[in-house]
Amino acid sequence: MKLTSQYSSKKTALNSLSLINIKLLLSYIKRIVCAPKTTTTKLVILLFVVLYGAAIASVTIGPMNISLSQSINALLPSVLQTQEIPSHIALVVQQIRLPRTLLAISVGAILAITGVVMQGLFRNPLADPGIIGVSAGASLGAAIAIVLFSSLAQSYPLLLLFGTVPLFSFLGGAITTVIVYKLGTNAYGTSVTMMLLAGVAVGALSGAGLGLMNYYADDQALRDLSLWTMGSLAGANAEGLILSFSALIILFSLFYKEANSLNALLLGESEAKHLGIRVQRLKRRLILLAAAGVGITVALAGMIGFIGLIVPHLGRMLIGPNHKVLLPISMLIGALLLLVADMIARTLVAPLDMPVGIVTALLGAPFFIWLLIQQKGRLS
Amino acid sequence: MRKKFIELDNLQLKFSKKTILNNVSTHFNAGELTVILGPNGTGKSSLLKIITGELTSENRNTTISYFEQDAASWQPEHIAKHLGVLPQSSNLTFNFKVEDVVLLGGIALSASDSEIKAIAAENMQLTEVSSLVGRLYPTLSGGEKQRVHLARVLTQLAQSGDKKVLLLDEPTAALDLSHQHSTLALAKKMAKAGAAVIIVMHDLNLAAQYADRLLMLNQGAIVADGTPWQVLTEENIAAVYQWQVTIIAHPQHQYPLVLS
Repeated sequence: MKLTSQYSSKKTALNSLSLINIKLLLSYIKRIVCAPKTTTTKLVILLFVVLYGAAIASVTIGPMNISLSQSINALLPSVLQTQEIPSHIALVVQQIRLPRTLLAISVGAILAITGVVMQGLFRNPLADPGIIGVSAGASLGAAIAIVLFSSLAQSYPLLLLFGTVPLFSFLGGAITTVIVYKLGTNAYGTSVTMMLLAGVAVGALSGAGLGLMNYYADDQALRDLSLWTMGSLAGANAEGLILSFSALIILFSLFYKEANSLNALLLGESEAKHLGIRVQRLKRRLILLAAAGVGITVALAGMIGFIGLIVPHLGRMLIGPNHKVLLPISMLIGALLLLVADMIARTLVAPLDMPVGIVTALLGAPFFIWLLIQQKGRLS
Repeated sequence: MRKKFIELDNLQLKFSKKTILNNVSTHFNAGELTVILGPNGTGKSSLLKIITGELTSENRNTTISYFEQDAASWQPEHIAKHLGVLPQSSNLTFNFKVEDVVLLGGIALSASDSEIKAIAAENMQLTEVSSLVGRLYPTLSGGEKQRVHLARVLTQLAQSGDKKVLLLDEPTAALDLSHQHSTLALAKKMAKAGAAVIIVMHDLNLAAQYADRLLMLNQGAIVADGTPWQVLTEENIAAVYQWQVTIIAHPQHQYPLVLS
C-alpha cells in the first residue's frame, strides 16, 4: 500500500514535471514563431513542427492498434514514462516503426537535396536524379548483388544486407554517372542535351541488365528484386540508419557549401565562370556526390521516384530559387513527403505493406505531366 | 603612356578547319573605350571569349596578359574581381527576383551581405533598374534584363580598385534609344574613371559617338585600328561590309556619321 502510494506520487510528480516541460516548450515555440523573422525562418520552424508531428503520427499509425500516449511513452527513456508500456508494443514502436520513420525522413531528405542539385546543375527544372541514369545504374548494381550473391545470402544474410548490396548499388550509380559524364562532355564543357540523351541510353541499358537479372533470378531473389524496383522502407534497421543519416549530413553540408556556386550556375556556365566559379570542378564534384546520394538511397530503400522532382519545385514555389534557402527547405519537405507517402503505403492496404515507390509514383507522375504542360505553355 | 590592361599576342583559332582568328595581336588600355566592329562571323565574340579564357588560342606562341601579368598566373576568383563580362543574352529561366540577380554579382566579392546589398542597390540606380525591385526576372523585357545584368556585372567589379576591365557583348542590341545612350554613357564614364572598356557592337554610328578607339575585324584579322575618323572611312566599310556608304561629320558633334 505504502509502496503503491509512493509509486503513484512519483508518477504524479513526473506527470506534472513533464506537463510543465510541455508548457515551457510550447511557450518557447510560441516565442520563436511569433518573433519577427524572415519568411524562410518561419517556414523552417513550421516545417520542423509539422515533420515532428508527422513522425509521431508515423510511429502511432499501423496495423497494430497503439494509442498516441503509448507510442510517445514507448519512445521516452523508462524514467520519464508516465505509463507502463507492454513489451510487445514497445518492441513494435522501437524496433519497427521508429527505424522505418527515421529511414523515411533521411531517405526523403537525401532524395530531395539531390534533386535540387541535379536541377541546378542541368539548369532544368525537369531534371531528376533518375534522369541521368543514376537510379537505373544503382538498381542494376543492387540487382546484380541480390541475384549473384543469393546463394551466399542464405548462409550469410548480413553480408548481403549491409555489405554487397549498398556497395554494388553505389558502384552501379557511380559507373553510370561517369559513363554519362564522359559521353556528355567535350573540350569546351558539358553539353546538357548530350548528357540527358546519354542518361536515357544508359538508363535503357541498365533496364536491359535488370531484365536479364530478373530472368536468371531464383524465386527468393525475384521477390527481393521486385520489391527493390518498386521501392520500400520496410528494411529499416540501425545499420541502415547510421549509413543514411551520415550520408545526409555529409551531403547536405557539402551541397550547402556550394549554394552560391549553384546560384551562379543558374545564370549559365559562361556567366558562372566569369563570376570566378571553377565550373568543371564544381560539376564533377556535384555529379559524384549526387551519384553517391542516389546509390545510398537505392541500396537502403530501392527505387523511389519523383521525390527528387517534386520537392525542389514545391520549395521554389514557396521561397524562390536561391539555393541558400532552397536546400534546407527542400530537405525538410522531402523528409515530410516521403514520411507521409510511407504512411499512406502502410495504411491503404493494411495489414499488407504496399511499396512506397508506388505511392510516390502515383503522386509524382501526374505532377510531372502538369509540369510538362506548364513547360509547353512557356515554350510556345 | 597608358597602362595595357589586356595584352594579346598571336591569337589563333579554328573551328573544324574554318579559321576564326588568324594571328591576331592587340592590347586594350586603361581609360579607353574600345569598340570591336566587323560583319557577322568575323570572330568578334571569339576574341572576347579568348580574353575571358573561355576559349583557348591554338598557337603555342600565344601570350595573354592581364594588367601586365601573364594571364595563366591569375586564379579564377581573382580574375572575377577585375574582369566583368556582360553576355549578349542570358538563359536564366528560374524565378529570381530582380534584386537577387544583381546580388549574384556579389559572389565574386569579399564583403558582408549588407555591404553587397548596398553596392547592388547603388548599381541598380546607375543602370536605372531600381524601379524593378520585387519583379520576377523572367517577366522582364529584353532591355530590362540586359540592364539588370549590367548592374550585376558592375556589382561584381565593386572591389576592382584601379584595375578594371569591362567586356560588353552587344549591350545595346535589345535597348531603346534613350537606354542605348544611357548605357553607353555609363560605359564611357567608367572608361574615363580608368577602366578598360571593350564593347562588341554593330551600330557604327553609336560606336563612332562613344568609342575612343575602333578595332575593325574581317575574316579573323584586324583590318583597321584607330580613332573613329581613322577607321570609319568609306573605303574600309566598302571593303569589309561590301556596302557603299557616305561619311559626313555630325553637324553638332565632331564624330563621323555613316549614311548607308
